[in-house]
Amino acid sequence: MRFNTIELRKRKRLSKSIKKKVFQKNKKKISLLLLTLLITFTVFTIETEAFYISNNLENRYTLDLENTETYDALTILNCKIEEGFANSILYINPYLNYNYQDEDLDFGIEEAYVDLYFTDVDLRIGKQQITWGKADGLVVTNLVNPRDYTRYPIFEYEEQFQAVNAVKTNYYFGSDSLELIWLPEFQPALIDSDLIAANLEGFKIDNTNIEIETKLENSELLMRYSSLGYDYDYELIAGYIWDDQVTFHNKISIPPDNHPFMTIIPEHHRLMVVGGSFSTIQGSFVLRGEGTYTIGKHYNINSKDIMEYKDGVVEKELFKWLAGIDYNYQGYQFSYQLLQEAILDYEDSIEQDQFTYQMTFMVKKPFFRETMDTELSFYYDTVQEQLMVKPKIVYDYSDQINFSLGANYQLEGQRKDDVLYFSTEYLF
Amino acid sequence: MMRKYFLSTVMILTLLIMASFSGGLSEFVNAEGMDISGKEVMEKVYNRDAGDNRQSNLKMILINKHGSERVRELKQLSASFAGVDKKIMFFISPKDVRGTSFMNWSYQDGRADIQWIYLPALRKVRRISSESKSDYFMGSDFTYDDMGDRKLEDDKHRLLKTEEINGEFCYLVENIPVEKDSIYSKTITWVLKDKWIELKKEFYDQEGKLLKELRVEEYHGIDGILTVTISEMENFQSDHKTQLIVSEVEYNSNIAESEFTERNMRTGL
Repeated sequence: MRFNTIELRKRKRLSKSIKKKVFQKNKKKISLLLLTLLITFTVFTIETEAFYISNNLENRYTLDLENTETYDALTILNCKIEEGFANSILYINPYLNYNYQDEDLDFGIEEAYVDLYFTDVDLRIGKQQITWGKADGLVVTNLVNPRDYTRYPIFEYEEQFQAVNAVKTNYYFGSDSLELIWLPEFQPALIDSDLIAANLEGFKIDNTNIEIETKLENSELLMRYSSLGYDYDYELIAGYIWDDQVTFHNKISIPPDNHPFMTIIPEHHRLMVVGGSFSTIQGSFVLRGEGTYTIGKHYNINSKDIMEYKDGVVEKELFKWLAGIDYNYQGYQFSYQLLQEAILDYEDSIEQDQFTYQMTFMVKKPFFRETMDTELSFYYDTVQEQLMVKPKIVYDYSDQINFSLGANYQLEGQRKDDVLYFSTEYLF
Repeated sequence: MMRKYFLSTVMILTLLIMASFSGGLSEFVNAEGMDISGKEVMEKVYNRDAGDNRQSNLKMILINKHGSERVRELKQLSASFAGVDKKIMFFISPKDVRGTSFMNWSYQDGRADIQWIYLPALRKVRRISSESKSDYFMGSDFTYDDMGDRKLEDDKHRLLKTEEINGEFCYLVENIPVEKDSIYSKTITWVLKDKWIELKKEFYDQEGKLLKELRVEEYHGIDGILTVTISEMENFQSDHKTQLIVSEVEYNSNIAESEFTERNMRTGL
């Protein structure tokens, strides 16, 4: 399935033939925002031990290099409010986005949770992001939060993941810890539904099975044991989770008129995952590794063999691993990562290749006493068959104001998602 | 008569020559002949009472050649446990680095240090190489090595002379790094006699040119322990200064080993 983000975004805008005034269109959202702020400030004026608020006002402009036109123009207000009590912290991170292209005001809560601290136990309840693993930008063991594929380009690492409602418990034993996570409700990966519809044009789609009902037996459980040591740090993980991405089952129907047609039935499947990660130092090099073994992964069959498999899918086991190396030389930071996915007991009828690879290479260097960060990274993906280069410069004009300039440019590949972006950020 | 005159002249000249040599040599004799060597001076500096543990706030003011300032505030804890010196730092301000923490474990048996950094934006604790100690800390004029605890055997020490600064008697000690890839060819330290505080330190680059100077501007006793509270590092080659102001210092308080863990890196503030 080939997605072209830029083309689909344009089609969405053109389809909006009626443009309403900002205030009338977003009246409900503005009212909800004001109500939330009122409640938040009322609650947070209760006397506490510590109160901290940090706001981030950012303007982002993204230019579509292919068509030399505006791809996106956003203003984002992000607030992080933290209130400390005797043995607990209340944290809320609301945001407000205004999209100039769509004239759309979006308000939401990025994270909101309470932390409770006991002697050797921490408890976090609420909407949160949880990061596992040693990889940068690639996902192997970082399985808790589902991806958000609708965001493009990615400005901050956390933007590619969605926060989830979870109960997280940590037990501490010296430098080791055991983390248990319960996700009571399933949250799928966020993919632009118009993108899917465009790629499945011509087929009938049955979404009956796509929803996962919120009930105890449908909840997700994950566990992580981590340790910091002299020779190496490591994590061991296990999870009983849902596949965040759907598998498209195919049902062939032959009606009385003998004209067969295919119905696409998207479904999520249960996965069992075990794995781990580690990092260690060898001289000036930092070596990192991750690996997972997954049971329950489903794959589509190619069209010529589709009739030989029930629903046109097959269940296989997956082994995924990553190796990374970091090196610092006279202030230049080099980082290389290689990720491989290997479908075990492979059959040639499977649409996806048995082995797929992703690679990243990055060089970073700060200048002018770390007021300017420069970064040049390359990303190669055998599934999308693309080689992308991502240069980026971030300049700290002051401790409150910074500017970013970057680009995502394809050197090879069929997708044309080349963009140039610029942002200004004010912290207060 | 002439012979006696000649002999007495020779004797006087000999005495004068010997006197001039002894004047020149006296400095050498005084430096080397004093009842202390360069290594012993530095040993007293490194072994000066610094408490069993310490916590403090640190304010770092970076001043460029135009006089504009950038301020970093940190909270730091340090303690020793079973031969391991542990240190942890939390960044309080500015806002873009708040919540970042840095932890270092240094082994008294000579094993290499291990270091981690926690980045709130990534929500990860990352292991970092301690071999980049010559990198500058947070854009300041201090390297990670300058910020850390150097060991006596890391340098060869030579007592040069004694000197008086602001009415205080100092030993001048030359320190030449043992490691070949140090960014400094040598440092010269002014050590206060009997107090064993490094009052001033000059750092020389690999070409032997003066690179920067550290000056202690204020020190006093806290809980009976002499503590440097204000110091300044001036980089002459880049025309930049960094002021360090230490406050809220506490020694020998109840700092548990659990303060130096991944948990505390994530939640310390």
